Amino acid sequence: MVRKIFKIDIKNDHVVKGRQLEGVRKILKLQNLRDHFPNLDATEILLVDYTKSNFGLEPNYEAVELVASQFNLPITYGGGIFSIEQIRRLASVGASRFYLNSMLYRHNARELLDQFCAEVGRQSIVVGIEYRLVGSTPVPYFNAGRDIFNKDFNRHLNFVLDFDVGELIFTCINNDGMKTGLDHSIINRLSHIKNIPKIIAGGATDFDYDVQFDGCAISTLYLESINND
Amino acid sequence: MIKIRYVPIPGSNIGALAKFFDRMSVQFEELLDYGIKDSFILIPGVGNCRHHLDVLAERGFTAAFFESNKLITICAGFQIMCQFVEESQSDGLGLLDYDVLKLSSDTQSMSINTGFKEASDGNRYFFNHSFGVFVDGVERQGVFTSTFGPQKIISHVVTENGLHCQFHPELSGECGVTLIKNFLNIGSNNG
Repeated sequence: MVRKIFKIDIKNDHVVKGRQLEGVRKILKLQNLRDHFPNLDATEILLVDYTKSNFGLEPNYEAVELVASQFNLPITYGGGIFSIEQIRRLASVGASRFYLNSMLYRHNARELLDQFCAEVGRQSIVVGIEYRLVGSTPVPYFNAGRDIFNKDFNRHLNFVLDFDVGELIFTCINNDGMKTGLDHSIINRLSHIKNIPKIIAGGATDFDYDVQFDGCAISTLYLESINND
Repeated sequence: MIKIRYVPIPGSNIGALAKFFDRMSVQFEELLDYGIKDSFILIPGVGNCRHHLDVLAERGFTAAFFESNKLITICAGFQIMCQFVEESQSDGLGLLDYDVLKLSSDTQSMSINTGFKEASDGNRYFFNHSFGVFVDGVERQGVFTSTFGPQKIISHVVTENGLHCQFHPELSGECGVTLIKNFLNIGSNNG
């Protein structure tokens, strides 16, 4: 069964949404999220604050706490995570899994990931691969789609797979917020990955099932139906 | 009021548990006095078993202490209650007569079990683990199972003094709430 994940972009204490990870607009206050939670049978929450790594800010602990206080559901948090102390604090306010991308650019990424896995277990470490399609070629980015990893997609993927983390989330930046459908072209590139759950995100128009993926993350379609408060 | 005291393990998801029990009107606080017997003891999940066992050893927790208390154990907390734990390459505390092995199967290369899965009690719970307890198909009282590929794994074990969950009840929506309430024997007027 394909996992259904509700991806919630956040900034400060608001749910926000942009297009291609840019130009976010406020959708609603996080404290009101439960009242607006879409009836879409989503069973997991992916909470990402794209402003944190980009500006070297601390993770959005307050947002995690606000969301965790409203749901008995697993929360994966991403944004500004670079240390085990931050992971501990995120766990102490309600996160159960941790989404990493920009951290992989650090020179000591390997040591940090080993440290994270040794404490919270590899199953709790989720790596995001955020990529832009240039022609038909995926190019991996970090810092909320602003900076390019200095490796091509396959080298970056192999680099990530070498860490033995718990899950991979592939987000097509071109499709983010555009409701153009998921990037199914990525599927063939990933068919050899069978031992780690793969989640696809970016542009979903519904829980866009593809049995070659373990889960699908969706946000825009449902967030757009919510009035700005 | 029912009390649950948790063993503080850095990195474990105490925040989610605290909010879960708060919504249930169950008092949830850190275990500070090992001699108190007025509460359930909870060993949280989200963790590496080596780390869990090291923290327990540093803080002086023994198998005898846990045997003498009513327990709720979750994920890695459950696994370290078993006999052998492959993740830590060591014995566990041995309260449960199982071995915890790396998830793998002949027909499935996936090495992680993540997501909501159905257990043999008919409910769906959130699992997130890369080691587990494989069991045969024989039904045993108090032992509930789920599946990992073609194989059966333990989802939870209910004993007179313990609820031991491979999944995360605190992240399992209403099914998790109901399971915990039933174990704590909480009536509808207490949450």
